[in-house]
Amino acid sequence: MTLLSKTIVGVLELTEEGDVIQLIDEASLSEVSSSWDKVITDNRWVYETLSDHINKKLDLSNIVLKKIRNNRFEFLLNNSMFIGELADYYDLVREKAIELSRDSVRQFSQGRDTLIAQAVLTVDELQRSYIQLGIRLQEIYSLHFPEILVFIRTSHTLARVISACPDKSELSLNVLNDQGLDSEISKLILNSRETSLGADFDSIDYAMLKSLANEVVGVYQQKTELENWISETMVDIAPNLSAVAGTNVGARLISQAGSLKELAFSPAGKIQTLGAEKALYKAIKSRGKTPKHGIIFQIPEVGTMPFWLRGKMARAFSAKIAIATKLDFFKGENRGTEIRKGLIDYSKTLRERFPKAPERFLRQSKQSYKRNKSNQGKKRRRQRR
Amino acid sequence: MMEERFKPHPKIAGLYTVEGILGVRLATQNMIKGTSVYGERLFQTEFGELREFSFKRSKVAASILQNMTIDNLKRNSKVLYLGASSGTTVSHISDIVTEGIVFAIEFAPIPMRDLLNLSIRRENIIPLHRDARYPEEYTELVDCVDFVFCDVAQPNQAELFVRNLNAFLLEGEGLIAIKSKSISQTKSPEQIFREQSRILESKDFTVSKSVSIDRYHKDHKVFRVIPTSS
Repeated sequence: MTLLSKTIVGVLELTEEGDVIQLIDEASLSEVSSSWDKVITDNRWVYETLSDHINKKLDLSNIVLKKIRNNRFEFLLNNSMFIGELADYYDLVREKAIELSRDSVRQFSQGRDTLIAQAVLTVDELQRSYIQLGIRLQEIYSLHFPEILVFIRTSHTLARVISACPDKSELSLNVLNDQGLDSEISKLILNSRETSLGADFDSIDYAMLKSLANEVVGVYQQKTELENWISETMVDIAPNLSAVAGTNVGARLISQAGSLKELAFSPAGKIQTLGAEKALYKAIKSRGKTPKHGIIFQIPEVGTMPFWLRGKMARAFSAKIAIATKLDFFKGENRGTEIRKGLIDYSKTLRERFPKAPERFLRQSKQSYKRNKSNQGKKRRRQRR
Repeated sequence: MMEERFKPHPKIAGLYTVEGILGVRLATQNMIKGTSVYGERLFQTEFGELREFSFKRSKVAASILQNMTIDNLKRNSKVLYLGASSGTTVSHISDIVTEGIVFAIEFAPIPMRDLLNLSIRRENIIPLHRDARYPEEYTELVDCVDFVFCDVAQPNQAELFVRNLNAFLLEGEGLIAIKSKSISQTKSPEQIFREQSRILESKDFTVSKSVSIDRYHKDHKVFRVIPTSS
């Protein structure tokens, strides 16, 4: 029987009692291995490098190998010319460990799916600041020209108008038409200036309004660009997933799961409630009803389903998403459009089969809701005691 | 304002207690003077510069405050830390084992970046980007150690802890922080801790002590595991 212990400078070959026979170079391990018949090792790499003809065993608690690991430096000192001092040995180990870790962290950062996961979070953040800045801009501008808010509702268009011409007295038909407003609305806006309730500002105030408006336009533009980039990249790295779930939902699923690999290894049931973890764990704890859908609610076919069919549709979609993602991760063929067609057919048949909400469904859902409420109360009381 | 009083910890060399207005806290001697790793407080004392070892962020500190026995965390100890994360606790352990080595295993890539940066500055940390579930993948780099700490928040973390003990603990001790919520959401914490304790008991290892650190970390319990022979 031969014992093999992998070290940083090579593989130690030992007898059963723990006497060192030789130090083998990593590259020549498979050449030497022909003379052994039974091998015990503590290392995955050694185990996988040895050919299958040898009777090999991976044993971590082997006491002889463990003793070597306990005092590896002394074994190496006698058998290798690379190592002279204890500090040298640990420096070598440390360098090697840092190098290995650096490589694998870098490899993780190289994946484009990680980039997408980050980009999705950024889009959400931009969306939030666009809405908040837009509301702020509307509030401020309403001191100057409140009537414009009746005609322009989206903060994006308003911001573009303000950035082109912040002073209401200088507004003209041309300016408004350039921002994509049709001429009738533009005329109404211009006419409403005469009876405006807003105050006039100084030129320094107009400069402030203009720069704020530019900020809103910039945030909106950034968001659109990022969304376009996400859809292009999604089609590139996950064509099947994008075809089945759409690029936006697909990217969100990847972001929530962590990476494309994580998503590909997830079961359909997990994909179905991805993004609804809070509701899921609450339901498991209080033995209530588990959520029907998480992120996949944002797929139009699922979200626009009547409520008694959403669970069915979400189930179908998550199952097909699981298949599509596996196709993407293992670089399979493109069958996304085909799968999606099947799902749309299924949604049609569902609508035909269940045109109305079943009576049973309504009654049951009310009851279970009540039961959940009362259970939660009991649980809380129990904990307090 | 009450003055803060600093005393060496009675059991663990290199660890200090800080008695102040907020009660007793822990601190370690800063290895790299003037730098704080994650925004913790620094104290200038007669023992040199001390860094606060926050029980809120570290389960090791919390369990020391709850009187957990730790015999093998010494100046020249070798330590294996599973689930090192971005290295908050690891930095304090490296303060304590100034002449020893800390093997820090972490699987998630983003905390690993912080850990790598930390280990470049602190020479007794050996960072490894490996999965703690498979100790056979890092046997060539990690030696047998005196002290193992495990905090990976995995459902099967007791099993992987025992695997690591089998591979790397000849004599010494191992500590494992178990979070009942990461094992099951529905079972009661007491039941989970009883089950996990049964997994930790085996032919070679016994559970010698367990303390609840529920006060500082919700639903956590720390078990001390020692080899049966010693």
